[in-house]
Amino acid sequence: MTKPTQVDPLDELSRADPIDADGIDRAVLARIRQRSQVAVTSRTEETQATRRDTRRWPPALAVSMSAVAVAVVGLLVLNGSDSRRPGVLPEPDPSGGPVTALCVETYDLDTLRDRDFAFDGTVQAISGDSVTFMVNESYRGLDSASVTLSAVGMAGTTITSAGGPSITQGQRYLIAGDDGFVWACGFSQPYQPEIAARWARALTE
Amino acid sequence: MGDGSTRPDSVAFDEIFAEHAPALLAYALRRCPQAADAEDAVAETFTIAWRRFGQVPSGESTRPWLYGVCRRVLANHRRGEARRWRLLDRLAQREPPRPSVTEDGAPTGPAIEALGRLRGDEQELLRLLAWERLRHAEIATVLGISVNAVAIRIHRARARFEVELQRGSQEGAPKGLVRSRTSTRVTGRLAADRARETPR
Repeated sequence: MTKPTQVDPLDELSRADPIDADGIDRAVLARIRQRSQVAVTSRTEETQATRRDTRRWPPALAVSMSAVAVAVVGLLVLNGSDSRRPGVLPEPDPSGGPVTALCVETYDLDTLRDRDFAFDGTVQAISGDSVTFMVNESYRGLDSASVTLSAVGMAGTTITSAGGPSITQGQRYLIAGDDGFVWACGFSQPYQPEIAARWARALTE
Repeated sequence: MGDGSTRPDSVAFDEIFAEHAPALLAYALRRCPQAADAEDAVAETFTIAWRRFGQVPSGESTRPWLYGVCRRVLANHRRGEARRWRLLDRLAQREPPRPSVTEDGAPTGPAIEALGRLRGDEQELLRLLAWERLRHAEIATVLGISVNAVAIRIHRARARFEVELQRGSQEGAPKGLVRSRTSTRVTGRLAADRARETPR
């Protein structure tokens, strides 16, 4: 009897990729390259022209024009976003702008209560992103003496993700998360007796 | 590039363009119903890269950085489009068009349909994983979130995708022919994840 082949659903999605990057038309790429160059050149020339013009303005006129510009911007803001000229949008910040969604959720005792597991544990072993903890005290979701969890971005590196502790062998932590994942951003942190007491109250009451 | 210089020499810029433009255009085409919009977005992305050459990271970080810029260019474009349609809507009292995977000859199928039933952020995570074939750390760069959050969100998104895919196949198949794969799913998933996480 043949065993059924296990198909990863994501492989199915990979096969459904609508675009073949290797088959991109070279002429299209050449056109884009040309357009990028033209855009850079024209913007550079515009900037230089603006600088030259500004240098020629008498100081009093420059002040008046600045005041008019401030007033126009104010009116646009007061009139709401629809009053902006269609198609004129700010250049995106390559850094990604304000980091509002760095973490899965914001940590507090209420969101802590939503986690599948929470415990006080000491690190026994680290292998890549997998960390095995000896469970000193389980607040919820664990009934074994040790547990191995995925601590992505927090193990084996001094640069941790989103405020998660840099998990080190032999150290003691308060750990919480879902689905076998250790959550960063305050849901896991170095052990402190007073915070442990707060977790115990919040999770066992 | 990454060395504090603010303007590229054209040779360095051409190297970046040659190495990353095809993948970047593929990225934009996967997310734009109109090819012309995808071209616009990629041209704008490289214009920004040129103007901010000192901020472009080197090596393996270059492409995720470019994807991140292109993502925000596309988001700006969509906001502009939405605004124009709202204006037209007020003038003509009509509904803006809804994107559909079946319009313009775009591909469809169970996987695309299952993907379409997920939330927008879940769709994007899975596209970056399955189509751009990025690792978790690279996805974190594109989306501007932590690698820890990426891992957790991907875990949830793929679980929902699998449910939707299975639901689609159950709806399309005669009753009793589709069995649950839950018992063998975990092994396959972890193996696939390991393969995707292997450094290229």
